[in-house]
Amino acid sequence: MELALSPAVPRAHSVVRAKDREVAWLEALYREHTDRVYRYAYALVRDPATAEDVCAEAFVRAWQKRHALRDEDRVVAWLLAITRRLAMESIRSMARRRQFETVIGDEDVPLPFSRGNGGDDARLWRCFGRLSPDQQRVLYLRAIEGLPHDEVARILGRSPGAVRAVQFRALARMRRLLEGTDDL
Amino acid sequence: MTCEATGSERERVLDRCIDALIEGRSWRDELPPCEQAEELEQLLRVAEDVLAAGHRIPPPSGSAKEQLWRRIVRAAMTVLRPIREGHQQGGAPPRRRAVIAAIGALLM
Repeated sequence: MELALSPAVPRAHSVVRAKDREVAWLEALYREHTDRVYRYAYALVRDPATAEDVCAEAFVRAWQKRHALRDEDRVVAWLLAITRRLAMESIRSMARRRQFETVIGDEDVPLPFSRGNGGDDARLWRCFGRLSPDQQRVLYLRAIEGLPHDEVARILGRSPGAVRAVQFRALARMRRLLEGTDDL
Repeated sequence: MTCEATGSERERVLDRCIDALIEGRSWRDELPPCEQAEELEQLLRVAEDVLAAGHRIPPPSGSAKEQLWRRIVRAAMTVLRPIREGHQQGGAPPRRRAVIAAIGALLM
């Protein structure tokens, strides 16, 4: 009977096996969701290098907090929430750096948000960044990933009607922001 | 098809139009003539822009994905290594041993 064995050796082996399983879990998570996490990060931070940083950190954070994920069906919503939090932290830290650079007079430093995008896209993503987390997730999954609304509802654990309502409000807010009738 | 009755019907119509947009069909075919058609058209133009901008997001290349994966594993391993080492030595992980020692010192 396993319990009768010496606890030290089998426990060490089982811990190693468990950790290997967890690394395999991380790899499966990464394989399935890299593009999704990267694209969502990019939509929020609007810079390829920063999006890569956020993406890498999001998977590490997800792996560290994997035991907090109670329902595997909610993994996408959970990953997007982690990604958003990290993207917001990154934006705040970039804003602080820019403020500092302006104070010391180095105004030639390129703004991270201005690279690699046309002006229209940059403005659109800036507006996207002003939506609520709920609106961002729905609009991202629906209009950027192109998922059907029932799939978005399942991923976010919401009713299809609630997803349609959030989608409507998200687009209405985006329109006001783009028109300048809502503050950016 | 109408979109005048209720807010939720309006949301359904918008949703059907977005389905058409995603599938590459004309969303105008899904839009019934109604009072709110103009508002819905405006929202669908925004949805078109979001969809188009989404397509322009450069996906990470194969080599970028490899590099990202290596970064992630390195970072994960820095968390994992002390735990493995601790168990292989048959005791608590080093970090935990340090915490236990610190607590012990405080209690002395």
